[in-house]
Parts: sequence; C-alpha cells; structure tokens
Amino acid sequence: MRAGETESDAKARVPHLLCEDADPQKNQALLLALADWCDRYTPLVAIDGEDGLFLDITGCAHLFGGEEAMLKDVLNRLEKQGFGVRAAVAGTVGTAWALARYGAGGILPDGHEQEALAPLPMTALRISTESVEGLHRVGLTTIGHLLDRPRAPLANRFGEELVTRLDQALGRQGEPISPRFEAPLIAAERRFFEPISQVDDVKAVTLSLAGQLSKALERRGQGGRAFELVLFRVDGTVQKLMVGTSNPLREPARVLSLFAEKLKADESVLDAGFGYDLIRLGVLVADTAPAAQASLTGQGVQEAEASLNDLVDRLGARLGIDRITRLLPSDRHLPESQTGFVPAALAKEEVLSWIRFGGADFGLTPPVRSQNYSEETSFAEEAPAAPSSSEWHTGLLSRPLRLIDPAEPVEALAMVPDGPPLRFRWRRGLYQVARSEGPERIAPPWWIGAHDRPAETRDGVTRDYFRIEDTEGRRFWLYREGLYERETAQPRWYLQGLFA
Amino acid sequence: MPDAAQNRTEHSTSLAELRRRIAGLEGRLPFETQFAPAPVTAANQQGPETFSGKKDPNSSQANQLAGNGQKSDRCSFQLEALDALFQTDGGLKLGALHEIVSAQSRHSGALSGFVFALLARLLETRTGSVLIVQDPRAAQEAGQLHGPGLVAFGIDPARLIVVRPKRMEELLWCLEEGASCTALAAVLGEVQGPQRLVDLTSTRRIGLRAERSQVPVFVLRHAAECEPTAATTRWQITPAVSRPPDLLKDGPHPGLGAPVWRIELTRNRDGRPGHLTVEWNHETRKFAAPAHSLALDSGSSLRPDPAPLEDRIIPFHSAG
Repeated sequence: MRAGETESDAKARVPHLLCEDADPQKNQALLLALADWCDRYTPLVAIDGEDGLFLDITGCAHLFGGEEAMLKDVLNRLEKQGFGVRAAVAGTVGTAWALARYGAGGILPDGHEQEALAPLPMTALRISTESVEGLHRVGLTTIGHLLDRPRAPLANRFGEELVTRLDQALGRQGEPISPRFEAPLIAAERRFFEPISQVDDVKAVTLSLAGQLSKALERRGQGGRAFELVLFRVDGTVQKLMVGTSNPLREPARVLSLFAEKLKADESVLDAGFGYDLIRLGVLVADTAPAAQASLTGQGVQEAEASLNDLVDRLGARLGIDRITRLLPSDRHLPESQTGFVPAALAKEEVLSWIRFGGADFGLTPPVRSQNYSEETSFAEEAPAAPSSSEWHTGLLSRPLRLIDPAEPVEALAMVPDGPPLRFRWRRGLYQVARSEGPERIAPPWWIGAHDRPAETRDGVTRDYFRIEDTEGRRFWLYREGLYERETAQPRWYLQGLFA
Repeated sequence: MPDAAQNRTEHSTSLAELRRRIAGLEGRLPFETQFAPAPVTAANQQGPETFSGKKDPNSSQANQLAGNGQKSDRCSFQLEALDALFQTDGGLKLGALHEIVSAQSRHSGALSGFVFALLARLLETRTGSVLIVQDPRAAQEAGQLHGPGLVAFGIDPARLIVVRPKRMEELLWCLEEGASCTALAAVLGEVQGPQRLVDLTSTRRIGLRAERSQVPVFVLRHAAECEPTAATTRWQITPAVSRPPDLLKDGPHPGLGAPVWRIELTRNRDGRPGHLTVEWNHETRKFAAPAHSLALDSGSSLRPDPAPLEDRIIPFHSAG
C-alpha cells in the first residue's frame, strides 16, 4: 500500500482496513507533545515539518551513556509508546535528516558525511521538487553525482538553495535549529526509577533541586527572577509550572513556597496520573544578586524588605503577578490618566516616587533604603527639606481621594450657564448642593486641536471642575464638559471623584 | 466584708466559666477579653467623669512613654475623646482587626476618608508599606485610588501596594497573608456589599494573625449590613456637613471646609462604644472635634459590667 492511493482501492485490497479522517491539527498537537517529552534528553528540541523532530544533543549524550545508548533509549521508549520511529545521529542537521528519512538511520561518525550521503536520492537534500526534477532531467539522481561537480554552474542553473543545502549537509556551512523553548540558564533534574505521584514528594524533590540551583546561582553571583518546574509524566505528558519573582531569589525554601502556592491555587494543575519519572527545575531569567552580607546597622531594614518581597511573590504566584500593583505617577493633564497601576514585581522603585508630582509640597521625603543606595545617588539627590507648615497649601483638598473612572454622566441643573450646579442626579439619587468651589479649568493638551476633533469623541474638550458638598456633607468632584457656544451647545456634566 | 467580696469574685468567675461553656457548645471560640480582669477594672475607672478632663496618672505616663519613641502597641488618635474610649486611654489597638462600615455605598468618600486619615496617622509612626486588598466591585462602585488626592491627604502613594483578587476567598487569603507579614505598616481590605464569606471564622483567623504580628488590619465595608464578625472594633462612618472655613489672611474663604465625619463606634471589645463627630486636618494629620459636637458615651458604660464583654450586635437602621 502506498501514499496517494484511493480509499476504495485500498479497501479492495485489504478488506478489514480501518479508516480515519486525517486531522492535521491533532497531528501537530501530538508532535508538540512529543517535542515536550523529548525535552528530557536535551533542552534544544525543534519541530521539523509535520512529522519530524530535531534534537540538538551536543554535550548531552554522555549523560545517557553515549550516543548509542541514548539513541537506543529514545527509540525504545517511543516504540513502547506505540510510535513507528526512524532516527539518525550525525554531525550535521542535513545529514541526520537524510539518513533518518532515506538511509539506514543509526549513528554516523564525524567526517564520513560524503560517503554516507553519496548513495542517497536527491530528495534527501531537502530541496524543492522543481530542483529535484531538473536534476533528474540532466541525469543527476543521487547526491554522489553532485559531490565532485563544479559549484558555480550548479548554483546558476538550480539556484542558491541547492548549494546551500549541500554545504549544510556536509558541514561546510553551519545550520542552526530553532528550538521551541529557550533553554534554561541553569537546570537541575532528578530521574526516578519508580515514578512518584504524591504532591508532598514532588515538593520535597523541588526543594532539593532548588538547593542545587541555589549553589550554582551563588557561584555565578546571580539570583533567579523566573523559575520553571517541568514534570515529566510516565505516559509522556509534560506539565510546566512557571513563577516569577520581584527580586533575584536564591533561597531554596522560598523557591519552594512559590511553587507550593501555585500548586495550592489550582489542584487540577498537578494531575499525576501514573506518576512522574523525571522532574526538572530550571532558572529561565537570572539577575545579578551580590551575596548578602548582613550589615550591622541596616539589618532590620533588609529583613523587612526581604519579607515584603516574599509576600509580593507569594501573592503574585497565586493571583498572577499583574494583580499585585503599585501606583505609578504620570505627568498628564487629565486626572484619569495621572495614576497608573503597574505590577509591583516589575516596577522600579525610582519610577514610583511621587515626590516630583506634588509630593514635595506635602512633605514627602525619599524613603531611606539601605539596599541599592549607592553613594553617588545619595550625594546627587539631596532630600528636600520638609516644608514648614506655613509653606503648605492653604488647607484645601483640591484633589479627590477616589476617582471614578470612567467619569459617570449626571443630570445637573445650574443657575447660570457657567456656574456650579444647584442639584444633580447621580446613580438615581438626587443630591442638593449646599456649597461649592470652582470652577477649576483643566484644558486638554493643545496638540489635540478643537477643530479637527471628531464630534463624538470627548477628547480635547475643556472641562470646568467643581468641588461640591451636598446638604448631608458628601463631597464630590463634578465637571462640566465643553465651553458654552465655543465648543458645545449643550454641555454635559460628569461626576469623577469622591472627596473624603 | 471580705466574705462578701470573695462571694462576688466567685460569682463572677463562675459566670465567666458558664459563658465559656456556652461558647464552647455553640462552637464559638471564647474571647480573651471575656476573662481578663483588666476590662472590668478599666471600665470601672472609666466613667462619665473621664470626659471632665481627669485622667489616670498611669495612663498619661504610658502615653508619654509611647510618645518618646518606645514601640507602642497602640495608635493614638491624639483626640482625647476618642482615645478615652479605649483601654488605658491609649487609642486604637494595633494588633487587631478593625471593621469600618458605611451603610450606603455613596458614603464611600467619607468611609475612605476616615480610613486614610487613620493610615496617615499610622504611617507617621510605623515603617513599611500598606497592603490594600481591593474587591474589584468596590473599585468600580466607589472609585479607584487617586494618587494626587492621596498625596494631598498626607499619604505617600509609593507606600501602597494594591492587590485586586478576583474572588472573595482570594481576598480573605490575601488579608491573612498580609496580617502575618511584619514588614507591613497596615493591611486594608475593601469589600463591597454584604458578603457571606466575611464571617466569624474568617475574621477570627485574620484577627489572630494580626495579634501575633502586631500589624493592624482594617476591613472597609461599603454598603454593608451588620453581620456578625470577630472584629475587635466596628466603626460606622457617615459624612457630616463641614464647618465654613476659618478666616484666612485674605478674607473669609467661600468654599468647603475640612472634611467632617460622624463616627459611631458601635462595637468595641477593647473599651466601650461611643459616637462622635470629628474633623480631619490633613495638614497636621490630626483629628479635631468641631466645637459644635460633643463626645458622647453610649449608655452601656454606666453599668458596672459594660457591653464590650458581650458579643452583641446592635442593629442600626440605615438612614435614607
């Protein structure tokens, strides 16, 4: 039976043939799963078309008792899983590909590429079918025919590709493979003779692996910012867990606690099935972290910082890093874009300082930090002297504590067109205005012109803000959008903030 | 006479024992304050006369010690009428869970105002950050935190960490984790509407952790009903009409005065309940009692055994 035959022909020949519709997506998913599984041999695994995998085993073979033992192990395990496999080990990607698909497979010692390739058909060179047909027409059928021919005419007639592929196969030109995942910087793994399935066992193994990583990281003077725990199940399924940290991390117990949160958050993450036979812990991202030295004075501060980072990491591991946020000041006109929320683990301390954004007027001083506080910066940035109370603002709160974003439209009634409202209706409640302050005009940035603005957008319209207290003492921040006659005929009112 | 005194103590211990047994049968954990002799004596010392300015010399000494930089387990309001509601006149207990409630979600401005005023006072004395765990619905209803507003209020926004969990279980877990982290200055949870999960058990767990780490935990509840919780204190905040501003050097100011809130301390395991109208001065970061309001003590303190010893819920009708 051959590929390309019709189903009826095949059924006529083999009456008990079982037929299934082709499903390329499922095939691809299976290939990806296999690629994940092959991760146990080398971190550099690449997908080759619809039915092939490249494994870069440079420097890995000795871990499995040499190339021969490794190849045997791969074939053995895959055949046990029910796959028909052909494999070859060679010094170049091209030769290995050719030998696996058109040759005998097996292991080819370095330097014997020419002899091995010579008898193989042209299609083994990974060139286009037109080139193959062209070569056949001039009587060149095997790769051997090409080897001692002048290169220039070949390149002229059949294109650069042919020469490039030939050079790649013979090792005259390097060929990188594109692995699916970035290889971890440092990894530690443990294989089990008997598969383990208990969560506690997994945790214990993780702790011991984290201990190995911690030593390796310490030698490099680094700490991990992102860790990956890969669990290889006996049946070939691979599970990956990732955690990020806010600061470079080395201590095994803290690494474990992050993964423990991850496991606790979603019990279904860890479906052990028949158990795991290989567990690997890798550092994906590392950052310099000088060895900690306890100082005599600032020890308490350091400890507090460490335990705060620990808390942020633990919360982030369970809820997701982007849900633990800090307030980022931004220099904008419109109130709704003045406060940004950024993930606490990723934000730099300097950016989050509110001193330049009006904080200095209210007596904010830079925090005293022992860590990351080099002498240059401490000389360059002198702490602004705390202003005496007379320098402070006149005692009015001009900005609300809470901002309703987006601002909610209200129905307001004003005595004079430009004046404060008399009463307004917000969320179906009626509020009588007792006292008001304003207007405070907040104009849009000039580069958003009033003329070329589309009528339906609200950007670029002047706002007049009023601080309002109602008869029961609730304080609100309302604005009227648009100037009468100049910008709009019927200005609308919005409620944007709540004062204390 | 010694016989009678002995009888009385025997009576009170047996009463305490009985209460403990009932609590055990009902599955409630007994509260420490029920047995500690301190509240009884403290309550006896405190009375209406506390407000006439007479103070216990010991407590003022304790205040002085705390003021001298010694690490204190209380945060003083620096407003005598409020401080006096707590044991040893010291102010709010730090290692405890405090519940701060508003009856309607449109009062959230006043509610957040009071809490951030407390935080501003706390941040002056305590180092570290504040963990704010915000129910996303609360952020939607009552608004996001606004950096410039916080700065003007006397709070450095760089010291805030805002967490937004998706579910209520996660929110409570975050509060527990925060309550056991000693590097924090305070933990603030924000809950919108009535929540079944904020019950005796969960609040008790948070309270115990706070007690161990001495980190104060505040739970803000917008538009909450009076549900039983194990919080040490429960405050009900309503906005009040502000005083016209004082005459400044450039004449009378036309606008709004300093924020004024009506505070009802409806439950206090650490002293006695009371209610008061206060004004917040964000410049000096101090509370002040407006001239027209008087500190009032609710009637319970006139009895020898005051209400805080009981786990009693006082229903309040929501206004409006």
